[in-house]
Amino acid sequence: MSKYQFQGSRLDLFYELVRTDFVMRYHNSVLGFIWVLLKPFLLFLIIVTVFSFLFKNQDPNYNLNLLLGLLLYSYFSESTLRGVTSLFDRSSVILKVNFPKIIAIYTTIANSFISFLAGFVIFLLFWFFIKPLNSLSGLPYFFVLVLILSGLILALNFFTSIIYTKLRDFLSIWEVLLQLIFWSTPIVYPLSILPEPLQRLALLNPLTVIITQSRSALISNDFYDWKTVGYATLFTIILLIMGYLFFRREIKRVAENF
Amino acid sequence: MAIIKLDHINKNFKIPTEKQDSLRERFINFSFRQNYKRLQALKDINLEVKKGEWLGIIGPNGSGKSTLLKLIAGIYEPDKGQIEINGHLVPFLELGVGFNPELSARDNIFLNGVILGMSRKKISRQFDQIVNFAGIKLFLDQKLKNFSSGMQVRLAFAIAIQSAGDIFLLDEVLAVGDYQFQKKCNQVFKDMKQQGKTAILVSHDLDSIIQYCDKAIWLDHGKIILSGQPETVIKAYTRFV
Repeated sequence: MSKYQFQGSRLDLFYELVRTDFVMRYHNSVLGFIWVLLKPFLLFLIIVTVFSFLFKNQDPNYNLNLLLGLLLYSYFSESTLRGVTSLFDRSSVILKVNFPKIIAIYTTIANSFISFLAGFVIFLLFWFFIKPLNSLSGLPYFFVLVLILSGLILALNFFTSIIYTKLRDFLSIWEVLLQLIFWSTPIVYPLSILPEPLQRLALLNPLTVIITQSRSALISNDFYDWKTVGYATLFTIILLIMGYLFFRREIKRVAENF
Repeated sequence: MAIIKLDHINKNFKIPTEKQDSLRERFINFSFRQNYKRLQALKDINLEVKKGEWLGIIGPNGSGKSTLLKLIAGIYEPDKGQIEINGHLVPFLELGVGFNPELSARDNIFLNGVILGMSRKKISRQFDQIVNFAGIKLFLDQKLKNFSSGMQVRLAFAIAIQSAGDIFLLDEVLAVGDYQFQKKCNQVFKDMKQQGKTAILVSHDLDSIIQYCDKAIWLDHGKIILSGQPETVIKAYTRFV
């Protein structure tokens, strides 16, 4: 009855795949890891230059809000983009060895999470410089939100990694969708500039919930909106379950798609 | 006791008559339905390998040899039938799986090792043994892309034999390496046999099948034409070809 099972250590496999990804991305480049940090900050500088005169009056902490929004969005976009190609990039291994392929999906998130954390340290430096609040008591709440975001990314990667093995132009489609998500989420603009009904619509997007609530937790200390966060959590959990079931069903035959 | 048992295994592949693997192409063709041709890669395969037995698989290109190994390794799912495996399988179909040419040999040993199911601790313990067997001590921190292909294969082989499995799947892995290395492999195979390990060998090198295997099967068009003593099967096969 027993089919072939991977008998090695999943944790070690995860570690080596993350390490390989990390080394591969940053070796040979002079600035190495700095590139990872530079990317969101250059984007930040550009957007600040362009938009800050527009929204400065409405939001005295516009710069910090923008930076936090961009950090969260970069984490989302980077790890979902990697997620799309995560199985396909390993096709040569998948065709030769039966290893727990779900670990390749976890790997994509781990590496983007490392760059996210590094970016967050820099955000904290800015935070201490500007000091929008007296304390960082919202930090645990913020990390709960990051956890929800990570779950959302994982759920999406379960779907997209499989879809990409069947439809090779899905990467371009996803890139366009990411742009759509970027502009429809209040990253560059504050949520408050939207008219009331549109605001409610925007809050159906869990990313909007996560970003606005993160801002509440770390910058404005507005209010913790448990209702929308509860919705985002439920949304993520349902998507995770669906994604996991989809992945588990499709992964058995994924070798035939290459 | 059978360590590997295949029971009425069937495997079909869908081959698209027109390759459409992007959404754009499907739009252009105004159809989301693809036309497939069915390729029957394996038809009703029954097979038993006993513990300690070495099985050789021979047959022309495209006869289903590698598909059969991939089914046993769990890379493909059978459409029909049951596969039973009672042991720890080392799924190396080809050597050097997961090797990354941009990484150093040292990093590759760990990467390849964990993919084959070893723990990092075990790899560290057997690291020197691997390096000595492969004979690459001087080049440990060089990138793998600077290695000759023979050296890469030697390293891959050295890693694979360290994994503590008792079933090995070998797809054309013998026809590599220089004379000295072939001799080393020979010794390793002899040791493996003595330790009672089981192996399935796919090879076009008929001499090595005779040398190592206790049993052979001849596959053609996804069917077992003949199975039995390696000498008998190979004689029939060569006469047929």
